Amino acid sequence: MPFLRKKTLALSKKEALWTLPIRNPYLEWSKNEEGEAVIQIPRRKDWVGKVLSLIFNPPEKRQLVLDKIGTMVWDLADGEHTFEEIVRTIKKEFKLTRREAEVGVAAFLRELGKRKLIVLAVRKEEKNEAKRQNI
Amino acid sequence: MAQLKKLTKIGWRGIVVEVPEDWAVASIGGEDHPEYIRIDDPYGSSYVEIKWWVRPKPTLILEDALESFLARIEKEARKKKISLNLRKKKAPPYLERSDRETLVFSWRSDKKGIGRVWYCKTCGKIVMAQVAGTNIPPGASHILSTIEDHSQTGKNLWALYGLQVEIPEEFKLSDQKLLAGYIQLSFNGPHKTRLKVERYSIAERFLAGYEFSDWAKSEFIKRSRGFSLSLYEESFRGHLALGGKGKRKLVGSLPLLGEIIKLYSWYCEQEDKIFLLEMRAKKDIMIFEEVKESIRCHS
Repeated sequence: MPFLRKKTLALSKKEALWTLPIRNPYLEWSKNEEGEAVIQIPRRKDWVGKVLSLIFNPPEKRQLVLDKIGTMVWDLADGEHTFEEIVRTIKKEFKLTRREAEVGVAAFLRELGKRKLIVLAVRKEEKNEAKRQNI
Repeated sequence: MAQLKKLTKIGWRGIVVEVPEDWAVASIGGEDHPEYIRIDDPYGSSYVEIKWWVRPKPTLILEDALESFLARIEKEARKKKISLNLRKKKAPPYLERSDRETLVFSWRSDKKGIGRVWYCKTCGKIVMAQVAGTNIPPGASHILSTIEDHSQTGKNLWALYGLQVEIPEEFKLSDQKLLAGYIQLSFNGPHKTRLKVERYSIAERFLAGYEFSDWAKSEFIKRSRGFSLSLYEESFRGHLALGGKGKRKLVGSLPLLGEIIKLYSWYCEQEDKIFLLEMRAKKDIMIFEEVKESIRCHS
């Protein structure tokens, strides 16, 4: 039913470029010998997780190992770098075209967002900055 | 004339346009008529839109094509309940080209746009192009003037996302994969010739620790099942390259007359990209070498 639908924040492309990806602060993560980020994802604590754990007995935490590019994005998702800055860094570092970097980073962040590993923050002043610079 | 940043060429299905370097293809139309391409700036504030009819119906005239296009803009403005200011006129003399019959137009609502529509007397195409957006760049009119609707050399430039290759006009695009990190363009040519151009970005990830020649060998073997293939290594533009040529085999390695396969791949370390070219044809033709030479890998 339409009135029960969750409201989502609609951002224009300009605004999306100024969002700040932030790692979920409750997650434990470290780097392995290859320098790749290893994220510890805890088991779901909701009723679905509880039911599934009764059936499958999964471990308390599972690991997600990110590749070189993923690790770089993860490192930059510290709330200090905007999406635009991350795209620029990835483009330069991996010699990609702007579009390739943008699509890749967006898809990766979307995936992390779905798993609640990151959130996207929008600062009011940055939103205004985007408007001011008219980009 | 207002100057734009460094320009780069975008080429798609016989249309070539020069846009600022950081602009990229955002949308492409299929084989339907008209064909379509849209190229966006990185911030979503302006774009170039080109629509073209390769073989327009004899009844289609410039004015009608323009009217139907402007009707869409009018409809959008009505929907948003905003006023629209439209202007259209015959191209001023400095925009006229002897091989084109041109109309120019401009519009302004919550966005604005300037554009041209023309009939090319040489190739017969009707092309409609506009630069539009909330903040159109100062050199918009220059972008429009760079549009070419046919090739002078008999080869079409296919250029997008940093890949540039020239393919003979008689080859038609049969398939495309435009993914972040991987581009593939497949073409069908005369005498059942099939040509595939591929580019892998972030090659290091695809090589996964293997040497390029080992990666290429295993890739060639996968692609040449049913063919007797002979491989050779060489240097191409200062890069290590691997080539392969073979004929279809029926029993064991006994070559039979029939389809041939040609493969060529090189690794451009400067750009960390792998290029791969594959051709299947009834007879050995020079096109393969010409296409290979036309690919730009690093500047």
